[in-house]
Amino acid sequence: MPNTNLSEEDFRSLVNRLLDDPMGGNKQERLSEQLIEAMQANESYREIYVEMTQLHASLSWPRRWSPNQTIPRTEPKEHVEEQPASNGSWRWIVALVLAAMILFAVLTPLALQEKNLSNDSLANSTKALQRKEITQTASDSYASFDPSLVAVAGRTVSVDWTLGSPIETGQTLRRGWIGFASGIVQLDFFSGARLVVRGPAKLELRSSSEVKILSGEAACYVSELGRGFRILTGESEVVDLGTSFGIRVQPGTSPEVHVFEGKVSVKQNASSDTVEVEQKHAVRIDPAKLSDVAFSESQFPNYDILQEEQLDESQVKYERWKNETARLSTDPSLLLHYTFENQKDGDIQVINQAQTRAVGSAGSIIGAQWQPGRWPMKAALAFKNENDRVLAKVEGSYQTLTLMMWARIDAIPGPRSTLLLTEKPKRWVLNGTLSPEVLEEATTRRANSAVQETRWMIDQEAKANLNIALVGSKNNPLAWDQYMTENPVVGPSEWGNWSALAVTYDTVKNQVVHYVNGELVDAQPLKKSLPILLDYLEIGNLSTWENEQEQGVNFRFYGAIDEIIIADRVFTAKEIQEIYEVGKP
Amino acid sequence: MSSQRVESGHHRSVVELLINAQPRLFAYTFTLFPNLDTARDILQDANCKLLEKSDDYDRERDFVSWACGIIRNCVMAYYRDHAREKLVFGNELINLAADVSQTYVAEDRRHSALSACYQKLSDQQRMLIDMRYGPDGSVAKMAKELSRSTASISTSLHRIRRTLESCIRTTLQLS
Repeated sequence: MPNTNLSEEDFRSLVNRLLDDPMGGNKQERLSEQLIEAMQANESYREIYVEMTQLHASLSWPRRWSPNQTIPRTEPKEHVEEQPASNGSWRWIVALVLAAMILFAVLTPLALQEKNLSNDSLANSTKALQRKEITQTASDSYASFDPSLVAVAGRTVSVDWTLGSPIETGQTLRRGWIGFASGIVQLDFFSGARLVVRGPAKLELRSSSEVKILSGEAACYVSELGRGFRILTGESEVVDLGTSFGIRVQPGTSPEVHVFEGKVSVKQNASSDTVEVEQKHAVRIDPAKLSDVAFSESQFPNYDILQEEQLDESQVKYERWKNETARLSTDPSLLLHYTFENQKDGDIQVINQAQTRAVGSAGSIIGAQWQPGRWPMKAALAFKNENDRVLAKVEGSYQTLTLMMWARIDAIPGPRSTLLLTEKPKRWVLNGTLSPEVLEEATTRRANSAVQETRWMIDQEAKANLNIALVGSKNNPLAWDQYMTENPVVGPSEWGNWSALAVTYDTVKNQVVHYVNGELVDAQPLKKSLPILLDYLEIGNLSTWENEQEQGVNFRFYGAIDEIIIADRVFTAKEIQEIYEVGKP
Repeated sequence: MSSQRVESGHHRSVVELLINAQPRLFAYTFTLFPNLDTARDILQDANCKLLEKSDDYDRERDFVSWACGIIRNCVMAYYRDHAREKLVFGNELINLAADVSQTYVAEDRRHSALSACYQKLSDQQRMLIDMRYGPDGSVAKMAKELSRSTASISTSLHRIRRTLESCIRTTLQLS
């Protein structure tokens, strides 16, 4: 029986469900029955159905199957073996011919009017395109590069992100949308184009050579390699033909293009002709025509502005951190606080800024070099070479401890990367800094401690590990208890970025807790509740015997460190979060 | 040689007409088989047939009407060949929608009206449309990316499409 009771709104809802809500099985079957019954009963519903489905299809077609997604971009190779034709490939040929023709029509509308193509040339181009597809597929199987990765985020200043997750400098970006209400973002596309965008902005990264800007002001700098970089703004399209230009897209007004250097081609919409705009000229892209407007380069964001604003922002953040960190240094629980502040390039030791600092807690720098830290005006120590390390001494055994470090890991070159570790005093003899009397006392302290060694490290899988050695058996003098995070804390995508790493050791609550960038990432119960003897500490590496070096024993940290905290109490998660927030670059 | 040139020219004209009509032919196909990917596959098959039959095309006739006839047969063939898969629609849909659909696609100003109407949408509305209809776009994916419920996304999309439909109708009437 026809369903004559369905209102127009109900019918529209059904069609909308058909379009947006893919269902399976019985539900879909029931929906289709309802639609058919309604259309049989009411002729006007057929019109509504057609209108709605055709709109849906018309919106999908240009966005899903545009020519540049269908045609491979590599040039055809002349001597590729032809593949035997099959029914399937014949279908592809048609698709490719159509795609090629669409692209041809889009790029050179006049060429089609000349009608100088022959069947032979069509056949040849078909074969070439078919070869291209084959070549592309073959080369793709060897490529590890993910084509969905399109750009890398450069500098960002005062960005208030509104769409998607906040983007960090150095982050690789996939195809998709980004949006921000204010601030400036630099995007370096893998095709060789750089976009400096000022918010409010909404843009879609469509490929390594194409971006769609719905709103925002941007300056586009294109290297020779990146020529042809394309910016879409709704219907219009701007293609770089070399060097640089600015583009402004604001809701309610027509987009403007200002060419700084070189020239760009502009199309109002898919069916309009391409117009080239020369340097020092500007146009407004109205729906019906292009209009000249006054050229102005200064109104667009550029790399210099970005740099200046970032420097200003860095200064503000740095001053804020300096104030807060000076207060932290007065916390009586701090045994060691290396802020790397008030130091000169060439200093051979790191000053312990903790108010309770003990003699010897200054760190001796071996090999590591001074360089800028989280902010350009802050100092850090870079650890690059095999023997770079810092030696420090903090006396005492502790039932509770917090170790925290701002570190920039640039790579993980070996099975273990040392953050901070305690060592047997004999190793320090290697450094020539212990007299026989001091060594004997230290050896006695160690002999009386249940915990022999403590190593806070990053393993090769980028997991943080607090490794505690207890007295073992005769054959195996050290028994290691490991407290390793389940997941990597600084994977390759984080390399080169500053991270706040922390671990707390708590014999009261019997647990070890790892933190990364203010967040608790792992908590494990203590296997044995014993105080940790600090005494002789090494940062960034382990002093190794010659035979160990020959055997390839390697604990080197590769990167930079610009703040270290050792406290004899357990910092709360809130405190660690606050230190991260005030210290994040 | 001379007759070959004539044939080549005719074939090339059909290719050009076919290329230009692709968006409209896709809309027609989708109306008869409302699944985007399958509709595209059917259209690809139909494109082959249209090229094979290009000699049959009479230049005096409306190309889109001629093409719609062949596409209609291709959709019917698809329903027939996949009958075992218990497709939710069938020839009933073709019988109900094909004629109306063909009338709609015959109106070639509809596409440019859609372009103009899309430009009139707000920034936010255009973003939602681009996200929904871009590659791999879906309501579920949008809900996740925008931290909104699927129902709320669907409602927004319904409203935007309704706005576009209304705008297209008005634009066509005015022109």
